[in-house]
Amino acid sequence: MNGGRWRLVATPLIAIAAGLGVGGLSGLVVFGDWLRPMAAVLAATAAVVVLTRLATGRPFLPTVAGGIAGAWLIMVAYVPTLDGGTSWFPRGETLEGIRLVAERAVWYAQHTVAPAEVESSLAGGITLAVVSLFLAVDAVAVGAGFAASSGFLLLAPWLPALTLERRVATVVLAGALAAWLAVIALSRRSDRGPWRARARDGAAPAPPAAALAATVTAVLVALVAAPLAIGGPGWGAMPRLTLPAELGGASRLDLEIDLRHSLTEQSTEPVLTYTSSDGRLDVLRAYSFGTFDGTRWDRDPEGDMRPATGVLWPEDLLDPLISEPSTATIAIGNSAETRVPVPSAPRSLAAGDEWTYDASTDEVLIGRPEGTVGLTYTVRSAGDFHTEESLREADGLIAGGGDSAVPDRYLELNERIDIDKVRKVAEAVTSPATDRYETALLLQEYLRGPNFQYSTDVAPSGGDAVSAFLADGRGYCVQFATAMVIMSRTLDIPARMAIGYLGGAESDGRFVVRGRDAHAWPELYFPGHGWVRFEPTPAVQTGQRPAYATPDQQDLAPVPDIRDTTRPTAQPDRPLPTAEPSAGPAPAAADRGPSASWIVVAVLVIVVAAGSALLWWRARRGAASITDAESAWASMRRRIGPRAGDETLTPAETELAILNDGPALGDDAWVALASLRAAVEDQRYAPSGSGVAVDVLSGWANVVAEAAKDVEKGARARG
Amino acid sequence: MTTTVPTAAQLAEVADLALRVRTQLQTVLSGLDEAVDATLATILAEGHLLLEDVPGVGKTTLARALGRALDTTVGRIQFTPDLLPSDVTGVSVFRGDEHRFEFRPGPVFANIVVADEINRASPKTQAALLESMQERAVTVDGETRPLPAPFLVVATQNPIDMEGTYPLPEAQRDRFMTRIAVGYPSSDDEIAMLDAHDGHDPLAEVRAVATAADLERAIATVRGIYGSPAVKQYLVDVVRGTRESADLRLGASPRSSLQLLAAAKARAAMAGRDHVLPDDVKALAVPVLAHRVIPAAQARAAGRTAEAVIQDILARVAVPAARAPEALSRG
Repeated sequence: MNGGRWRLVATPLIAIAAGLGVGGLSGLVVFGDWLRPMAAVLAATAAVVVLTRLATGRPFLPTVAGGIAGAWLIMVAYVPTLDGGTSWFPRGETLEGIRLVAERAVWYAQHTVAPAEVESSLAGGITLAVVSLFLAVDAVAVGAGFAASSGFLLLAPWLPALTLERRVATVVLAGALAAWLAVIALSRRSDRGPWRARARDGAAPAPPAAALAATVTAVLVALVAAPLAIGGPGWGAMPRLTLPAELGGASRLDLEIDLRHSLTEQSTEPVLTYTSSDGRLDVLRAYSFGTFDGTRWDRDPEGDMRPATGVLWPEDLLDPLISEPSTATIAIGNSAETRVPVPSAPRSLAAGDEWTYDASTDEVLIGRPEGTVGLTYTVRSAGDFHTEESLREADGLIAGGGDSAVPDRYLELNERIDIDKVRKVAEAVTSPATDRYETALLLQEYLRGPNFQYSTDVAPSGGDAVSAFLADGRGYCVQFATAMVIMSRTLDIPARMAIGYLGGAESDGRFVVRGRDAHAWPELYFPGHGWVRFEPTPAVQTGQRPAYATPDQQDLAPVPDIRDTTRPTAQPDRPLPTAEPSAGPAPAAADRGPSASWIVVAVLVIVVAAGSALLWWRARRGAASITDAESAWASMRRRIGPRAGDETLTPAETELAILNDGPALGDDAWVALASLRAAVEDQRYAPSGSGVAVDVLSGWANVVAEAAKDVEKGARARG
Repeated sequence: MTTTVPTAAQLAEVADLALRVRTQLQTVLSGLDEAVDATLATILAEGHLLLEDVPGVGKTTLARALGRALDTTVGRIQFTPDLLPSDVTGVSVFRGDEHRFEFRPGPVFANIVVADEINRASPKTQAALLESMQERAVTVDGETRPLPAPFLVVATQNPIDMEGTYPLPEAQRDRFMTRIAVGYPSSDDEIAMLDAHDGHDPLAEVRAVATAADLERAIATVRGIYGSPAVKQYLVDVVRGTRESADLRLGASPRSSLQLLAAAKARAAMAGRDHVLPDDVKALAVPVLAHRVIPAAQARAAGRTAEAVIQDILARVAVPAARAPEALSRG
């Protein structure tokens, strides 16, 4: 690329890398429509920088111009006038407007919980940060010519994700990294910018190999060693940064339920504590999921809302007061949900704030803006409401069309699922069953059986994660719950998935539920009883089955092994610890850390290797980088090797050296060499420069280089 | 003195003129092609020429042949120890009939002045010639008289270690654009020379092939030749190389940079080119620089001449690739 043209390409790449930096806010903010105006402002600023650089050719003037343009765009987009209009020009009141927007953004950041919905003022702040980052990186990489060093600035937006241990999208991180590597690859040592040019007479610039090695080492240390260190033993000993709730430290259940995702290490922070008249609660239920597309679950839409009467359970269920209700007093800590977690079979709720009950999803909505943070409430529930006998009775109602009250979505099977295959498995498993209760129990026991293992790592799958899980046999609660829901649906049993918490562990007379107690389970519909929880996830993680769903071992037929026999059986079966009422010991970080971080490491190594290969290739060949007579000449000389002499030869002397040294090249090469020599002389020394087209030049270079190679081969063959 | 970009026709004219003169000179002097080319470049670059070598190798013949080939006035001064400055510049004599002084111009008032064996005259007389070379004018009795244009001094001298000579000081040698060591001819060339002198004077056969006006036009064309930043960088690198070389006690002056570029432009024009190549600089580096530098004692002890040191520098200095002019201004 001649002159400074690479800079015009580098600037958009830097804009992309800086824009992708918002990926570092993953888990802190909700990504949505606000990204579009941000991208527009960033793109416009980048365009101003490119055009200014094109027009003036100055190193830092484009940064100033871009700064002015970016500030104006942010003002237009995010700072309204005091009466709510658009401020096109800065006026006296604009300052007041900026102050109000800034205040609102700060207040908003302090009073919402992560992940925060991004409203206008916060979007303005993020946009300002991203545009500033872009301008700074552009000034360092393109203005000053330190392309590689600009990576330190580009790391900045990823720091929140690093320190808070949030998951970031690998694609976004890799994209930012690739854009930065492209900038390095584009920049050339020979015209790095004013500082390098000035240093020309003094210290010699580093040779390309050294620069390349330094770049690769820096990338490896920063991006490969660091993830390794996270999985290593030293990292865990370091004090973790704990943020106060106001700074977005509030936790939330991950409601993006995708069966293809492995389970990452979960928080040990307490979510809530409770005391209960019945001791430990089985589960605390918060959300319902009914729609499954093969890999992802979608939340149920809000259905018929019941006013806050204090009574939760639908009155029309059979014998609702079967026994003495138990009472639990629950205090939620720093957990921001929109649904109140309640025990199984809740009867009534006493919470100070406004709440509503959604009868179609069995969710309890809370009206407070901060959600459930700091909420304390008391729930009366009928813990042992269901029994084996009562559930078996439901069959009579099923025959009478008892399922018709259930919305269709609870029987829906997405066409991406291999329904026939799943149904075949389900039918084989449940062949001994005589009623819905036994069917459910057989499905549960099949999944708890020896064919399945609890694992936080999930084998990769296509669009049908359930079939993949049934074949692979490894997964965590979401896979087990989903499999049971889908298998039930293939047998025409309405089923859905619920999300909430396990009962936690006792500590000082109170039960403490932590982030890692988050759980998913299937619920099957029994007419007259409503939605009944089953527990297909193995005991290693979830503990005992519900009392009504614990099979009498003699009654159950042996579980047939009908899984795909092609699956490798060499899989070491982990010994299952005895069932504990608690969630069991959390697997050590080292146990599940490496495989996830190894994937990250592998991706990074591939990216770095690709970048290095690109740099090496550019340095070595450069055939594709012929942009003028000079580069064609250089490329030809490189390819010919020592025969072309050294740098102290003039083009004419080089031509003579090539012609006189060794066997003759032939007429075509002779003419091409003379033409190329004349072109490079014209470009270097003539007032008009060289007007020869690039493809002609690279053609000449090719002819000469190929002829030299042929002659050398011939000489070797003879000698 | 305005310079314009030379047209193709002007360039062709210069190249043709150079070819004609070269052909004439070659009839007299066989095997002195490089010396002849450097001589022509010196004329076209408005410099002066110092021919230096042992007696009898054709220095004076070259100077005289050049004077004949160019249809210009030729002055010839044989320098001797008793030569006075006025013998060079001219003298005012009293005309009794007109009751006034009349200036009798000396031999220096000519387009081409052949100063034979300049190192045999006294320094005072040498200085008189060198001053007129520098100023292109002569001042006698308080009156300044311009010398004709074009004006070229071709001085010959024997190497300084010969008997009975006053070697030119460094400052004086710097006034000559080029110094050419004629050298002994090869045996073929020497036989050709014997043939040429067999029975007649070859100088008599040299025809005038260019006029003073032709030369003036060619000189104007040469001024317009383009020297690119890359070639200037190379030239400066070479000149700086002489200053930084440990083998040289005295390096080349900035004036020599100017003269080297001017000579290189002339060589480019003689080849019909409108721009200077590093090859021009390389070809003229020894003639333009060698007589201005002084080898250091250890280099002399090792038998290294100034020419050899400059050749070493040429073999060491890299020829710069195109430096995009915007590369520095663009950030």
